[in-house]
Amino acid sequence: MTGGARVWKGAAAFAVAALAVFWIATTPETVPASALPPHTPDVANGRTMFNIGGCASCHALPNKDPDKVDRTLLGGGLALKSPFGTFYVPNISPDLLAGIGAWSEADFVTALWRGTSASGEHHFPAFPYTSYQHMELGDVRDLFAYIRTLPPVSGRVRAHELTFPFNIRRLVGLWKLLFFHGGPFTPDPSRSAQWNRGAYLVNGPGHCADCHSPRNFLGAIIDGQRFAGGLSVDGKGWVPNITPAGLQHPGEGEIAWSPRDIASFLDDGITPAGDFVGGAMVEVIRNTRLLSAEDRAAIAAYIASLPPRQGPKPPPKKNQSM
Amino acid sequence: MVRKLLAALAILALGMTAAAAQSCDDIVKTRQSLMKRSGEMGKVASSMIKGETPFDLAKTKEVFAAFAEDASSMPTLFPDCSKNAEHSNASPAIWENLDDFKKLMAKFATDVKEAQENTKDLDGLKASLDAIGKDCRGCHERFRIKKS
Repeated sequence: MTGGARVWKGAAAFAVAALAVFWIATTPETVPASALPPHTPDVANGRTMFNIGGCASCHALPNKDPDKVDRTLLGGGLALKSPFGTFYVPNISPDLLAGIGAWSEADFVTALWRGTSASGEHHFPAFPYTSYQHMELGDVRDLFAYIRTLPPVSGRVRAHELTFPFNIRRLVGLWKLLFFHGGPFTPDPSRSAQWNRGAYLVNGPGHCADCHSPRNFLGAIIDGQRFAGGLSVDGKGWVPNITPAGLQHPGEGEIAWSPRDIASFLDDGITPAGDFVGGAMVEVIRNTRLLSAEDRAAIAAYIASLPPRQGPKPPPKKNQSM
Repeated sequence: MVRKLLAALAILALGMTAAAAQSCDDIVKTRQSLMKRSGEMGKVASSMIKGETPFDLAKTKEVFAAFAEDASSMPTLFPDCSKNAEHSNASPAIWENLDDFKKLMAKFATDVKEAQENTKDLDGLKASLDAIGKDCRGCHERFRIKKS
């Protein structure tokens, strides 16, 4: 063999080895049914998880008038624009063909805890399993039980329209290696039960940081600026800083927030200055107003206790056109 | 002679443009201050509903009067020239859905008028603010976008 051929042979062998390593490292993880102990589902708790999880906000059949959306019809179809292309939210109604009617409980836990689909592929992290992974097993199973009480909706949703290479699902395995860590929520014993409940709801099902944090060029949350606000994922609006650096340093026309203001806001959308919030937060409040007052107070207590963090600067204002 | 005329026309045009631009700026400022006042009035009303302050019919009428001024001025406060205004949270969606926007403004005006005619006590205030709050939310959800 000539020297040149040897080099090529070596390179080919290396490439095969690298591909094999990549393939193994990006294997989608699952939760087997054997890992689930006996559990009696609590459908009422499942409904609470459904509300704080905001599932209907993405998965319900969309309507031009947001007040007309039927939260129980989870036929999907909403288009989510992102820097990676447009995601079309899937049907998660209990429909056997179009939705998750054929899913087992373990399939559902696998989706929320591992970001892996029932067919063994990675879910794109537009589905915020980076937050849902912190949910307790009982809560996830109750949520599944609740969803199964909802009406089946027929009609599969179209495939996502993503730009290359972000459309390659296997690459999400690489993304997960870099950015998907954690696991179930662990309470802080030095804090009150209310604070821990708030921390759980915010970081788990509430997935508040998923909107209220800036993301890097690969779409992962920048940890050091979690909750410190940033550009919205569709690139159109600015999501505010909800650490005390934001809430205690109000802009023009606004007033500093007390925990009571936060809890009240999550009920009626009215800021301490008497303003009615706009944009995507209105949809969040459609969910949080369905929670108990205790849960809203817990969320407020946790948010008020966040360490103050400076977030990214909003883009410079446009020059006025003549 | 022609040159003088052209010069005069040019100066006139410049002046008109400047005047129009300034009035557009004023329009944006006006709508922002109207909204701000509505917010402050809304706070007065919601604090009565939450039981933080006692119900006061005179104050309630003040609140609705402010809302009514808002409602009647609004159709003139979103001209085309104000589409890209600096410091404004008005979303371009307004001009893409002008019919819907006008319908929502009209509903707001109707609800405020009804509130003015029918609100006599705390229960009435709660009901009125429910309806009016829905109007606020309806516009703000689709047509307001935080820019910073």
